[in-house]
Order: sequence, then structure tokens, then C-alpha cells
Amino acid sequence: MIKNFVWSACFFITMLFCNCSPGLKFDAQAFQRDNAIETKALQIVKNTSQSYSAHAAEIELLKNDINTALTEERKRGKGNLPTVKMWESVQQAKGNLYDLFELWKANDKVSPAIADDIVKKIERLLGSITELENFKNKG
Amino acid sequence: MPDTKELLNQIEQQIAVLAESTVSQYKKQAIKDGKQLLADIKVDLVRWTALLAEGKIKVNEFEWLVNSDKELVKMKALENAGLAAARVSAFGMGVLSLIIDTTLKAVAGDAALPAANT
Repeated sequence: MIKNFVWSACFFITMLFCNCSPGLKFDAQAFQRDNAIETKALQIVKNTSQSYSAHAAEIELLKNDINTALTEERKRGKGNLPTVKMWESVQQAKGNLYDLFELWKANDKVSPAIADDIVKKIERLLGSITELENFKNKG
Repeated sequence: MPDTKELLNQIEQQIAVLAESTVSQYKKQAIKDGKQLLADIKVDLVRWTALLAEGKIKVNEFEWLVNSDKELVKMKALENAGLAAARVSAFGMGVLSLIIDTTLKAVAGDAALPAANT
């Protein structure tokens, strides 16, 4: 979904980025951490049809992990701004992970009719952060 | 359930208006991209709209679903390019905002939503 639009919109920018960016260095620990966060988040969002309160504690733990990730990413310099912006979106943007938690809390249970959609979307949203880390310079 | 064809036509018209008012210099390309974005999410949008109209999902759940597409555009753009991408994806995000507004108007006009859904 939306791949064609994204690819056409990003081609020019990708070229620009490749030419102008000082080059981001891959960090194996960050990659492992991002993978772990994605796995934990997916385990949690598989349960949105259940009561929020039953999962509130694990959501708080996940938020702590994400706060730590964002703090660490901010220390990696200006070139790492895209990753920082992505984590900030996870926390602040409508339609992202924390917004889902707010929705879940407000409704207590999310309609089961969209349970699969939610898991797929969170997988793609968090997966894009892991993919970016994996794409950084390993040299 | 609102008439799907009519709803998609309305959204396409709104995309043209948005392109004219925001990126008039590149209107043709913007309309093409906007229509492609709509085509990409059309199957899901029709399904979610039906669920909303049938009261199987709530308005805030519908909004989250479409907003998450907006987020996917933004996250992909960031993944590919960094900050400059925010400008590129702004039109796509505008398109998704008008999809939410137009669909909610169509569903609300078709049948009043239950109070619990608003």
C-alpha cells in the first residue's frame, strides 16, 4: 500500500540525501535494540481487543525503552536526525504508536475488526526505523 | 454505507482543489501522485468506511487507520531522505487528511453515527 507514491516522491530526495549526507554509521547495538522494541510492541498491539488496563504496565515499560532509544539516538549527532525524527513521530504523531495507545486507553478495547490492520501498520511503522538503521554505513 | 464511487469521485475532486491551492506550479504531478495514493489505499478505505458505516468501528479508530497511512508516508520519506522529505510528503499528508474529512462527511450524511462512535 502507498508504495508507488512513496517511491516516486522519495526518489529525488534519496538522490539528494546520498549526495549531501555525511553518511550515517550503522550501530549494531541500536539495530538490536530497535528490533527488540519492535518485537515487544507487536506482542502488545496484538492484544488491542482486550482491555487496556490489562496491558498498561507493559505499555509503560515499552515507553521507557523508547525514551531510552530516543535519548541514545539524539547523542549520535546531526546526521542522525532522520532516526530521531522517526522516534519522535512514534511518540507524538497522530496515527503512530503512542496515539494508538491513547486510542486504546480511551476506548478500553479497540474493535476486533481492525486488529490485523493495527498489527500490520505498527510493524511497518517501527520496521522503517530498523530498516533505516540497517541501511546505514557498515564500513 | 455511502456510495463508494461517489465518495472516491469526491475525494479526487478535493485532491485537484488541494493541488491547485498548495502546489499550483506542479499541479499536474501532484494530482497524479494524489490519485495514486488514493488508488493505493482504496481497498482498505472502502473496507474501513463500510465498517464505520455499520458501526463496527468507531470514528477515532477510523481516523487512526487513515492517519497511520499518513505516518507511513512520513516515516518512509524520513527513512529515505531525512528532513527535506517533510516537504515532499506534505502534499500526501494533505491528501490523507481530506480523505478522512470527506469520508466522515459522507458516512455522517448517509446515516447519523451512534453517539458512542463520535
